[in-house]
Amino acid sequence: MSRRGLERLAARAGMGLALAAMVGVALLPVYWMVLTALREKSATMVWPPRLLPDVSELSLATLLGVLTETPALRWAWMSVCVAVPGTLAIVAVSTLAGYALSRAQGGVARGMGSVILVAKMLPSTLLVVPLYVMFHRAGLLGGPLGVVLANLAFATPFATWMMKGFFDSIPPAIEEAALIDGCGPLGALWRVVLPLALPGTAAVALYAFIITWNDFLFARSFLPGGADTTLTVGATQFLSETEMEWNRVMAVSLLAALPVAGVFLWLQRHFIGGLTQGHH
Amino acid sequence: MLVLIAWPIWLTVDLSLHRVRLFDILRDRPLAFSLANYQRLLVEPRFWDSLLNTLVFVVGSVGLAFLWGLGSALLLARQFAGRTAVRLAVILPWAVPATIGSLVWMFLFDGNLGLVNHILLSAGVVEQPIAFLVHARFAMVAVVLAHAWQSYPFFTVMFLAGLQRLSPELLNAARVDGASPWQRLRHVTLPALADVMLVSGFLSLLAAIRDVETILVMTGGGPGRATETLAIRIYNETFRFYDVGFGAAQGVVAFVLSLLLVLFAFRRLSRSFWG
Repeated sequence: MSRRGLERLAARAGMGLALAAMVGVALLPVYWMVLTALREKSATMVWPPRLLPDVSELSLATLLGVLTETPALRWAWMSVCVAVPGTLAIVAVSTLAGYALSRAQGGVARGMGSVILVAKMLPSTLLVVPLYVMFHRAGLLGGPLGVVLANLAFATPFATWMMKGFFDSIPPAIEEAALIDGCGPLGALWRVVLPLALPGTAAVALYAFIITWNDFLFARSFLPGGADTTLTVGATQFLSETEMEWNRVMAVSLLAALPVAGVFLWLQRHFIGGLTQGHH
Repeated sequence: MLVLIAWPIWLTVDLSLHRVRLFDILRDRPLAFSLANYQRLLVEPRFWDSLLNTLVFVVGSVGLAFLWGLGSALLLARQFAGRTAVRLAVILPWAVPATIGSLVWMFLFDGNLGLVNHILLSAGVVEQPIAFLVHARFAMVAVVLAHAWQSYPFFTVMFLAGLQRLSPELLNAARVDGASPWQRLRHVTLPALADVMLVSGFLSLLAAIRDVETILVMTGGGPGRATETLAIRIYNETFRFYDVGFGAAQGVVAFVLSLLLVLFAFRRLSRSFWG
């Protein structure tokens, strides 16, 4: 083989190795979570840990045990109660705000841009305290509504910025035509602009769902805990027990990660397109 | 929206100027104005420790994530069989909730059963298993790695998008002119990514400054205070020690720091945001 051919082969092998390393780093923790969730407790306590399991040690016993013996199902329901209304609210508010921002004149848009930037810098720990006080006064602690509102405050700025990017790509001439044809401004938005912005709305919905479903801080601070909390907080509660039950922790983790991973794989094209929109 | 953002900021500043405990607010007691929280902050070495921890955590995890994201994007931008599947696999950590990712890494770093120790032992790197989350030095390494794992896919995606906009003619021209692959990367590809690097790096820095999930789950700021960043300190001060005023004072400091960072980058950024 010629020297050039050898070099090309070496480059290919190097790239293959690098890709394998990238994929390995990305997938190993996920693989380990799934594997541990499918093992009985005794199999997780073995040293050295076995990377490749026997088929016989895999079972759904841990997952079923978590579903029947722990409050996992209640946690899941609470997660749904936080994530679904939260996603709807964020999409509704950011669509209207993003549209207004996209069609507003320079000064307002710039001002709001700075507000959004400032909001992006707020540590969520910082939001927690004043919101805690507000919710205490309003009697919203202990239920999902407080968590929904907190997530709304936290996620809306970025969602608005995303939506603005999508609306910017729709020429105003389209809704001007609708206005001339006798639509009101909201009618024009609803019937003409929104259908065009649907991919953007999908991206924002996914972003909002991920934020609300994954939320930990607000749920931990505004919900009572124990059985009355969300999956992400619930998963950490096994850790305070004297004995680490890693297979159960990983089983609940798997339950918490599955919906997001599923939606992510389903909508990845829109999401990736949406996140990079608005930058240019 | 202004209400949800401006009012919490105002309330935080207000709280930070009073000596106030969580129970006081809940009972609506009147409070005396005081700068005591800020005085305490400045004289206390622990505050500077937490600032230093924040710096190490933020620079370490964002730096790693940046490099890993850049490397993976450069690789994934090439043509090869099964590219879509590999791309999805590499950005999958993005879809794992931060809390859950942190739990998994906690298990991986476990001193008795952890896979990381097993790998290090088999490779002969260490002779004894390391109790990562128990030793001050290693705990920081562990949270930095865990946070980098969770945040690199954002860079991968942003850089991939940036690379797609890079015109192939430019690279070809450089190749024709005899530029080596390294020179092409250094003088054509990387400069074309500069804007994306700035925006994504900046957003990730802010996210890392804010991060609580990773550290709260993995170490709670410990062992001792080895991984106690500013964000974690605020949380602990407020919800473990119920010293809301003091927590708020540190919140104001964190906010001002982020604000400085923003002002520093604002001109370039506002062009990317609104240009």
